[in-house]
Amino acid sequence: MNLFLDLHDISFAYDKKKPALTSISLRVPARLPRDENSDENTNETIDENSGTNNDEGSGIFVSIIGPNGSGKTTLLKILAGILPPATGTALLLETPVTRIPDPSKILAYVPQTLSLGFSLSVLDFILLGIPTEKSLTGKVTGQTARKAQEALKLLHIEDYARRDILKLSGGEKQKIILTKALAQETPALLLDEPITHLDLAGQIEILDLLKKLTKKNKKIIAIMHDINLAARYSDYTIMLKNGTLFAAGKTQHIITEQSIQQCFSVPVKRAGDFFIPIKTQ
Amino acid sequence: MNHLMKTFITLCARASWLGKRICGSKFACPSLARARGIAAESPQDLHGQIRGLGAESPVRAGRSTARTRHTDRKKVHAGIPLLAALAVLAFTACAPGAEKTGAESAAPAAVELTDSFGRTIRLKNYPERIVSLAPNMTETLFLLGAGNLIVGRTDYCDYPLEAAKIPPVGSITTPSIEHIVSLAPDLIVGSTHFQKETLAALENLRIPVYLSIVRNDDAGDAGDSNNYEEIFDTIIMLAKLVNKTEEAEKIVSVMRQRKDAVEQTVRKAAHKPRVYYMISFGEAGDYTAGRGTYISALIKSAGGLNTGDDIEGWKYSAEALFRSQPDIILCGTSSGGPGAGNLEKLRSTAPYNRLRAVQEGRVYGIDNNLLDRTGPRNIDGLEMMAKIFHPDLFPLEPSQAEFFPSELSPSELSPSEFSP
Amino acid sequence: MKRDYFAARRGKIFLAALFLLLPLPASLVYISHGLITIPFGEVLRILASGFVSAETATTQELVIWLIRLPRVCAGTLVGAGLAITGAAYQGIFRNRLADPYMTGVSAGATLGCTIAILLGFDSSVFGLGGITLFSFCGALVTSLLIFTFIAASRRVSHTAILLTGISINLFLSGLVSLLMFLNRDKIETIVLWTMGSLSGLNWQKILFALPLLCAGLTGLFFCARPLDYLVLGSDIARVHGIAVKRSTFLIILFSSLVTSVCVSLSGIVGFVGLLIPNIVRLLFGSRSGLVFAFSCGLGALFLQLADFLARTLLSPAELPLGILTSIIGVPFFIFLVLKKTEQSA
Repeated sequence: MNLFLDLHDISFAYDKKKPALTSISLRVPARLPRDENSDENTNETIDENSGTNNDEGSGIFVSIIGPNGSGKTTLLKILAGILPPATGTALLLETPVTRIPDPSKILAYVPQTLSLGFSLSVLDFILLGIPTEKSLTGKVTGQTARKAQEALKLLHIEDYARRDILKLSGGEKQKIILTKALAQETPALLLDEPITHLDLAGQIEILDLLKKLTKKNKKIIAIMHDINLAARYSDYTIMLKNGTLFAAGKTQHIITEQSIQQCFSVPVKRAGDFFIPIKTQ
Repeated sequence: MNHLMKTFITLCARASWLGKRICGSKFACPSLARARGIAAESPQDLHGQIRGLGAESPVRAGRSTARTRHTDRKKVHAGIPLLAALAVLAFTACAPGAEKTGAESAAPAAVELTDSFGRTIRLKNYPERIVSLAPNMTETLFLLGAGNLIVGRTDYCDYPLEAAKIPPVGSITTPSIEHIVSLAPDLIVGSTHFQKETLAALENLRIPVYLSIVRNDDAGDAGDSNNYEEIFDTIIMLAKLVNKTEEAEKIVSVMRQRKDAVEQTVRKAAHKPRVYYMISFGEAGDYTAGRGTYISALIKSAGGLNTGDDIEGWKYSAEALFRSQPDIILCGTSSGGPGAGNLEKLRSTAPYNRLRAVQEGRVYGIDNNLLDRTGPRNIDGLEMMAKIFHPDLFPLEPSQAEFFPSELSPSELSPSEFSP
Repeated sequence: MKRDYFAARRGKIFLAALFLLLPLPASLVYISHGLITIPFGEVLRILASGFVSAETATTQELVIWLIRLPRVCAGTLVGAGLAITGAAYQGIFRNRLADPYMTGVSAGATLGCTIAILLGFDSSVFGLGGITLFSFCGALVTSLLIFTFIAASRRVSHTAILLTGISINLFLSGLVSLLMFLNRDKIETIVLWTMGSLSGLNWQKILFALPLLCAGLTGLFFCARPLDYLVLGSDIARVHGIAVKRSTFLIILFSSLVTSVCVSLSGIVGFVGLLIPNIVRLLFGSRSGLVFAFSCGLGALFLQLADFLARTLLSPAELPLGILTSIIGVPFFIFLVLKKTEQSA
């Protein structure tokens, strides 16, 4: 499989007056090739823990950034098969998103938050993510319990298992939503602002984890609000502005002072690994 | 939450209403009169119950009882909490009878009476324009020859046929006061189901109101001549109001004779059939006339044994019916309907089709107005029942149409004249 | 952790078995008691000797076969049906306070019943009774309104469905009130029906209801797993391959069928659909399959008991079923609400 995402002329509108996405076409490779001889800046943005993961080239971390209302969530939902595109075709892992019968086998979708009417234990919630054949009676096999436990261990939250979803804080909820997605063990992971409610340590922990997962052949696409973190962790970036594609490509090429200024209308200057807004006197 | 509040309020309203229906007698203040076998509550009953009156479909599977056959309820969706309902009921039940009288004057009155509620009616002259808010009063007035005095009646006053010519003023529980006033009456007569509000409104307008209800004997020993005496009394009292006492005496003596004749003949009977008075059955619930009700008394006078006597009140059950296995089932039906078919319905409804009486075809109909409306026609009802229970002792008379065992009695059966 | 998980479950298995198995022996108790008490042995003998058809049947046989057995059967069916549809609606609408009548079905049934009574169609049609038929049709037709609404809307919005249901309820209740006002003599009949009762039953009605109920219940059980995902939200549900609109539609379809049948048998009996699923969830968690199964069991138990009390407490008078379920239900309900508020506080 060569392409993670292949979009051609995707448009969508929630209501007739204001289209949310207009004519998006892009291609994202399924893995970043080891040798990129056309690039001068190699792996400046890679965290030291990840080491030389891109050299292995098994997965890819794509970030979607853009100002509010630029259509990021819409794009992600189209990729997840939740919204049908009005025009164009979208291929995820070389399957058209509209024709995937059971998307949960290919992709795991992590929404920003969940609203649940009544209590569900965290464990039950995660188990929902693990497809079991005879789940009518709620019989939990040893296999599924193991998967759930592993997922919880990934995020170091084994002690959450008995807790009630309704009583979790925003950050804790985000963690368990992610855990459920991970328990699904799908090749693709689609995340909508997965770290917004977390504290700094939590953010770094999750991003490190995601990066580590790309080593294991996971294709990740995440909407990020923090440009710096996106620049640091992602391999590929899609920048949206006003529902149109502003830029897409390898992160180090895409996220630049000029692009940020044009896309976000905020002048920034680069300081080492970071982009810092320029103070206007 | 709104949904829940509504449920809660409706629940309270229904509980209070239901409580009064099932345990009706317990709530009524003992000082109040209770109509025997009819509404066991006072006219100040909050929810108002109309006694069996005409204009109902004779197909009787509605869940209704003899006394609440035509109900005139306030919107049940407006709920009143149970406690408040009880409090108001207690308050009104023990409220002193209204003291307002008719024309208050020092001049000598033509008639002065005390009605069933201890209220004194004082009229300077005999009334010339009467509005009758009770079907039984209408019937009685016509019988006394005072029908020409009636200028207004309720929607349910359907007997005799001449009553139809009188303009109606509404139902018993919610008559139109405007209509009544526009008729300029000098007397209002009422009976069971008369509402406290109506009374208050009329008294405010200083129109004299005469209320008459047959009191119930708590001893409840059916068949006591006390009951009939009370009925005779009401006829005589009403006659006094309209200066027809002679006619009343005649009528009452005829009634007494006929009643005595029936009771004496019945005493010769070797075997008294066990009778179930079926007000409704099936989906509508099983209702009959229980011990102490007026209908029970009539059944006993007619020489039958009321199976409903093992309960008090009106609610029976299919099981109890099977346990008692009556010999005769008597269905109450109101006159004027298309009639017929009670036996057919019983035959086609399980489990009633297994009752012995149904299988033997001993299902009879009777116009329940004869039984519910306290008045002269009660004796007709009595005679009719006696004929049904003891056909050998009461041969059919040519002046009366035959009645068929398995169909309703046609309305022509009720004799409309009393030959003194 | 795995051990913990299974251990906790095992603790509940006893309770679960109780819920599912109790209705049967309980029925025996209820059949043998009433106005006349028939000893168990006699009851079993009568049941074993087949349906009473001979002309000469003892009172006991008649009472058991024609009165008590249909009643207890109906109590079981209606209790199970109302409880499971309550659970379904609570899931679909993600609201603990949802009940089977939320989509306007109760008002539709009452309207049907009112029309039947006013037209005088109380006579038997195939021994079913006009009220049964008309209330069933009224309930179904009302459900159709919700269906067309769902079918017509592009995205299934739960709030919209809820509001539509409430509006339909109010509108039809208004119609019923109007009809009652115009026919005041029939008010009592209508109101008594709405209070719920299992007294006017016979085998024809039960045989009419049984296949429909089975179809509806089976359908609902097949919808249990989709419901688990629907509860999380339509987005997640779609990602898990659930056809959101179709699943919602199917669940409401089957629930409406079941509710319509129950209502035509028993009138409007409240609190069962509201309470039982909440109790089951408290005890067993929120997995829909489990909730459905145990709601059926507990609902059947509850209604059997309520009906038994209804016909014996003031014997021979009968309390309406709805009153009894409310009386038993309200304290439980308040307890639940308090527990919930203490949880979320």
